[in-house]
Amino acid sequence: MEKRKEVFILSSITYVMKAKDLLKSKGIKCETIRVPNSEVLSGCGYGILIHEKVDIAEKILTNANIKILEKKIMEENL
Amino acid sequence: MIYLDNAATSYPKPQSVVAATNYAINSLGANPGRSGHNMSIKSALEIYECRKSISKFFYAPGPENVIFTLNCTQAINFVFKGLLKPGDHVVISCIEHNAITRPLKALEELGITFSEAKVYPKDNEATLGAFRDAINSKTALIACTHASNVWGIRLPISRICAMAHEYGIPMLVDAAQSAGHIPINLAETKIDYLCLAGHKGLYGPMGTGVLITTHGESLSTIIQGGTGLNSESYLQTDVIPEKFESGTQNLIGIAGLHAGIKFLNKIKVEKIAQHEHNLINYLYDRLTEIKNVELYMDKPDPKYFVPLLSFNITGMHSEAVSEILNKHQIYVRAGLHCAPAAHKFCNTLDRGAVRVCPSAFTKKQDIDTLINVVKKIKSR
Repeated sequence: MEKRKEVFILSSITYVMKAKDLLKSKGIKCETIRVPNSEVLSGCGYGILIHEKVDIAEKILTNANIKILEKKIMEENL
Repeated sequence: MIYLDNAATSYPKPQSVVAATNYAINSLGANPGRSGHNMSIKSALEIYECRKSISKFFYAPGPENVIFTLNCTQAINFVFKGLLKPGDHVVISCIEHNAITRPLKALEELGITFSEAKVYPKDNEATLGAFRDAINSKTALIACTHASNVWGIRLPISRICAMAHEYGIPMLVDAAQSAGHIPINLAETKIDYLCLAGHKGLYGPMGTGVLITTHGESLSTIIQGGTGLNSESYLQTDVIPEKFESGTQNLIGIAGLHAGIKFLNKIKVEKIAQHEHNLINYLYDRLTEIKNVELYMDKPDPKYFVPLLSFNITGMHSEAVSEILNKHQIYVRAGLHCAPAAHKFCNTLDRGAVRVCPSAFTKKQDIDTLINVVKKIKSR
């Protein structure tokens, strides 16, 4: 079982909520997190922390036309 | 007290709406979409859930197409001022509210023009023809009410929209008086810009409005500011729906509106409309029996009317009638209802009309009480 955690930075809180809805409906554990400073966002914004099945999650969001602006590997102290 | 002024704003609100606003003010006190702490995320989630409910209720493609505004008027202004360019022409109907006519009148200064298409009550073919005839080579938008806030006349918006699209023209619908009374399906009608009042037939609190559109990306903003996104940049974010929602949102109102939508989903729009139509048709029949009552439309067939009714008493100004009703604690709206065009349509500009609009909570005895008071009013 893949246990890699990643943060997907999305364009807005609305898309984060939409992504979370979608992933949870597919049984993928995820959480909304604040992204304090991101180059792709020109400042702060929100992302979705994916706890498992990162590659599947990415595919699901891409298929739903939810644009992932950046992916960050989750570090212990993030 | 008998409240029959639901076309202005619905009252009472369902208890679930009261509870939702109470919960929001007490427990969702953080600014949504701004911070990372749990309460801010929870507030943002409430807004998202409301977007989702509205999106489903009107069959919009997704929650991101739902933009919160202060009211329907603001939603209409967002479209007019974000879309229209000098030289553009707009077709509207001849029974519009000032929410449509006043912004367009102001835009005349920029070289934007508009024409009024005549409405033929109960003759959708003729109304459609009038809209078609009003289109010219500069027409950039057709904007009209779904239902008159004075006479209840329904416009055949699905057909007007299909015709507009044949000419490559987008369509705005002011659904302030129809949402919650008539099911609206955006997937079927393909309305480009649906403007809504959250506080009328949708049973939300005042201070809530909605614009639903799939053209948000290409629509310019008329208000810019903080959105909780892209904060380093001086440029307005281009991400929908946030690009139109600068500044702190009316979370308490939105939570109430969410409960209003849930109320409609539970009771069903069709059932509420049936109840309201029964009351209005009963009122119509009783009013026709009173000698000095003047009615302006045929008996309101739900196919052609939303459930509201305006009348006058011979020789009296509508405000005088309303004053008498007020003394009996019956609350209606008289005057011009911010829709002089609609009054011009029925030659009532000089004295307005007395408008009666029930809601899901109106009872037959409320209408009976109104009728009994009207019967006693003597023409002057």
